Amino acid sequence: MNLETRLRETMDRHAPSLAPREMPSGTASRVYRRRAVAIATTAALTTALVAGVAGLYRYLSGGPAIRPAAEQTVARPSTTEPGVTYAGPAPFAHLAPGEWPTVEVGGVERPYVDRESGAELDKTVVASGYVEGTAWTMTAFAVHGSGTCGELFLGETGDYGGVRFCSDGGEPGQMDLRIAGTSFGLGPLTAYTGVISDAVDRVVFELADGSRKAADLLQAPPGLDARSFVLFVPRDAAGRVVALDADGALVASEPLCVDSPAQLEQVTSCGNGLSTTFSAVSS
Amino acid sequence: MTGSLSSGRLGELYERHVPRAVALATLVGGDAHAAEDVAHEAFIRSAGRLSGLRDPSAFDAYLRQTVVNLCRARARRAAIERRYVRWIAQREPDMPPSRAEDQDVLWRALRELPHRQRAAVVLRYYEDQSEEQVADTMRCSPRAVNALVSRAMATLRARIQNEEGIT
Repeated sequence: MNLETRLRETMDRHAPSLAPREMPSGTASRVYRRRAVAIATTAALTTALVAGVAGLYRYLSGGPAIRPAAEQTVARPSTTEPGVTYAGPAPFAHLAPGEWPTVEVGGVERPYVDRESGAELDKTVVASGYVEGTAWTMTAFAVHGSGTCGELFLGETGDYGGVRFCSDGGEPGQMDLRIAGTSFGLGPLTAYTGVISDAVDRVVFELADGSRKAADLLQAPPGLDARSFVLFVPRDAAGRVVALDADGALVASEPLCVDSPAQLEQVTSCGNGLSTTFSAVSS
Repeated sequence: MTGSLSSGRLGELYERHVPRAVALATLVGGDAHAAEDVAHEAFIRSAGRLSGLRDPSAFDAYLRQTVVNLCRARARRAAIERRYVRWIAQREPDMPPSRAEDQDVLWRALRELPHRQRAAVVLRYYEDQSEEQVADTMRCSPRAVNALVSRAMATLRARIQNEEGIT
């Protein structure tokens, strides 16, 4: 008998039986878990690779095509503050006079937080959503000397501009209701934002046509004492915004100060709480 | 065979492939008890990547490759453990083989082959794979497989000649 044959026989003799064996319980779940980990790892690596390539492309091409125009900011405007040039048409450009924009709350995967202006500020997202399909984000934060502030930005990366408003340090006057009205450039979209004091229970918009609309109040992040609100209104909304206490008594009121939509390619802001207007430009 | 396997399909795969994997692990690794664990772990790894295989019908080959790799890793760990125990105890290293194993010169000689030589011999003569298939499983060239098998056979032949006096 040659060595190969003898070797085969030896291995056959020592190898265990080849009879089918039942799969132990728990094996299937281990397989599924392992597969899930493999898929997650692959997805993470792919995302990192794509992000790396995108970052490299942006670096090599000299920076992003669109950026918030923090450097275009003009602090403490008086009544109406012109913005700067936009790059393209906004998705909300079709809004007709008197037409209320369609607003959704939530659903924004990555709410935009402006880091170019006040990078040191601890900005907290208090609300986000979509208006006419365009993402919007509200943040709240404290600014030394200006009290509680908020920022409203439009666009996934703030590319349609925004506005900052504060509870203190703006125009003198009553402090219970500080508002900022903003008309966004390439579409007749108008928003009113603001902060209210503890004395205020409700914020209601009383329009010139006799209609009333209450604004949802956004809870202040921990450490801040002023709540904020945002309401997107028709382009030609006129009237006033009133702050009411728990008994329905008037605490303060401010006129809706945006008297006409911003000029094409401009952003305008107004109001007793206005701090800063942000626009966006194409580089 | 599809990428998304139900528990039932996994069970069928297990019944069909794992017994052979246990046998392969026993012969390559030389430890019947550890072979069960190796085959089970190899199955989980292979089935976990089944959807990523370009050719799902190659599951058998992929499982075989995983078994050989796991045996090699286990052999490495065992060698380290043996060295450590030897260093601690300052005595003879390995447990003596059982009486039955002691009588089977060829089996003992096979177990004492270096891991790669043993794996090549088992794949070649137990799994009946060609040199190209063995090379694919062991991720080396067919010439390397030929060299490994030749050296292993020479060693085995010499051991038998020494201990049994036959050619």
